Amino acid sequence: MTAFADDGDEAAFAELVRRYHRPVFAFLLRFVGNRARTEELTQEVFVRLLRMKGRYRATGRFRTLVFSVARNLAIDESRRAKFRRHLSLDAPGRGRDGDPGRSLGERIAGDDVPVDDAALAPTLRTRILEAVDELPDAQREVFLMRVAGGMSFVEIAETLEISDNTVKSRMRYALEKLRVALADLDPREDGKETG
Amino acid sequence: MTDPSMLSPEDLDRLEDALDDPRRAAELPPALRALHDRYVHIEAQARQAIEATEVPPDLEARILGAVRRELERVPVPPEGPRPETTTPADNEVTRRRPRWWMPLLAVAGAAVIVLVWTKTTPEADPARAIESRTVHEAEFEAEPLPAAAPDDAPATTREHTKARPPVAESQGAAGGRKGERVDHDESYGGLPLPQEAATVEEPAAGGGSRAAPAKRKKRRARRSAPGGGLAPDTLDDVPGAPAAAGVKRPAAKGASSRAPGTESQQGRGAAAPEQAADGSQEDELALSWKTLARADRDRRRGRCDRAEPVYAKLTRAGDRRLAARAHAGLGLCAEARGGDGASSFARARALDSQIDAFIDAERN
Repeated sequence: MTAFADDGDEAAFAELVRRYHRPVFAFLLRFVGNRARTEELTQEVFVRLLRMKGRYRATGRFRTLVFSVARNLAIDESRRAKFRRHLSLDAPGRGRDGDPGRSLGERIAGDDVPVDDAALAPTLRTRILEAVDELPDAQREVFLMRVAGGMSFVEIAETLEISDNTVKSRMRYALEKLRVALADLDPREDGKETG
Repeated sequence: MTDPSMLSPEDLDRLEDALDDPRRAAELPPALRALHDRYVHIEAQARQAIEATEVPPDLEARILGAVRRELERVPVPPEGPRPETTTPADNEVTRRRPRWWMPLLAVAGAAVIVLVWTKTTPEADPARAIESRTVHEAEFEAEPLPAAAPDDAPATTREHTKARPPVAESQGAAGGRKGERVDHDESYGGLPLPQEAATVEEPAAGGGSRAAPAKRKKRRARRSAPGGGLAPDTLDDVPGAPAAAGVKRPAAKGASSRAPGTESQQGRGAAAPEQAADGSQEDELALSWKTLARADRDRRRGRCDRAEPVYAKLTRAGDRRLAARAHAGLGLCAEARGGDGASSFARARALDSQIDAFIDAERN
């Protein structure tokens, strides 16, 4: 990234695209809920990063910048989406079509079902993604920056302009909610827990 | 499994720290450790689920294509806030936020406007001061001669005189050598001022002028010093001046240490303004000469904006020589600004035929 910022090296930027486009897409998808729109926004993230080239200072936290841009686009999109009210493939059905808790994409033979046996079972993956989508926005963005972006709590705090402790708290709350939502799938959850 | 709602704040902090730094998990008590491990497991599953999100295979190529199109476009100003401020709030609200420098720019612009406005007001513009001179003259026509100003006290005058640079010794009778700056407040072209040319009356005998004759003799004796006689610059030189009129003054400070040129004023002073009919007229005349001297100083310092109104007043003085000097001063100011002072000089000559020496010396 330093090479790109200093010299405008296109190859360097291409490497950045290669490294970050997947996590950015995954991050945005959990907010936007629409694959086509997520693809557009993913492109927009890198176009905006390109425009910021002259202002980027190599502080070693390009990942922070990437997800900051992605987050802002997600926020803007969610505000616009409030006026759209259309079904997305990935949005949980929430009881529509007589199948609560499953997205339309899940009911259709989706192409994002993992093939690898070592991967999560579709049911588990679906449940996890549903649980993540049900998180409050503040917890979800922390959680996704952590798991999708691989960011440390310090980096998340810097991106969101909140304290480290707040980041840790939100992460803990998010994990607790997921734990409760997935309790029936975990044999360690012996039903004795009261959370 | 432990219910987190039952944990103490300290335990929660330890749990959260362990989520951040796995090395701290070993320090957790068993109950917390179990909860921590469950959280870690869920995080790992979630990461796996999200990483399994199928990304369109051509997305990377499309992104690169968009980037190349952006690079090929005409350069546009960079969007977004600076990196250090981009990460927290790179959104529409932040972009529309007024920049920090806008208030400073507004204040600077207002200051510039005020400065330009003050400089263009007539008081500050010498050129306009000249143009309005006729207005001033009309205004001053009915005004009496300038009254004594607080700082016109003789003692102050004397100190001012002492503070002046010494007059060139070589001031001669010819009105000063060319190329030499001759302070014509002491030397009127090097020519002694004819007493008869002055219109100010000698101070009338009486209490107001008791000291005058003796002092005038002194001044005449000192008049022989270089510099000749020119219009007085100090009250000491003016017959009937407050000093001569018996007005009390603070003790002269080092009067004997005056520069030769200043001493010559006293001799001239006896000649330049003739005695006034009474003490008050003498006072006024003395003050007028002092005022003229001040105006001359302003003019020489390039402050014609301050000198011209004074000259304009003094052109109405009863003393012809004083008025002639005032007209000459106006003409010199006009020339200093690239204008023509001929009309003023003509008026000055009409009042005092010997004014040309002064004018020539001032021009040099």
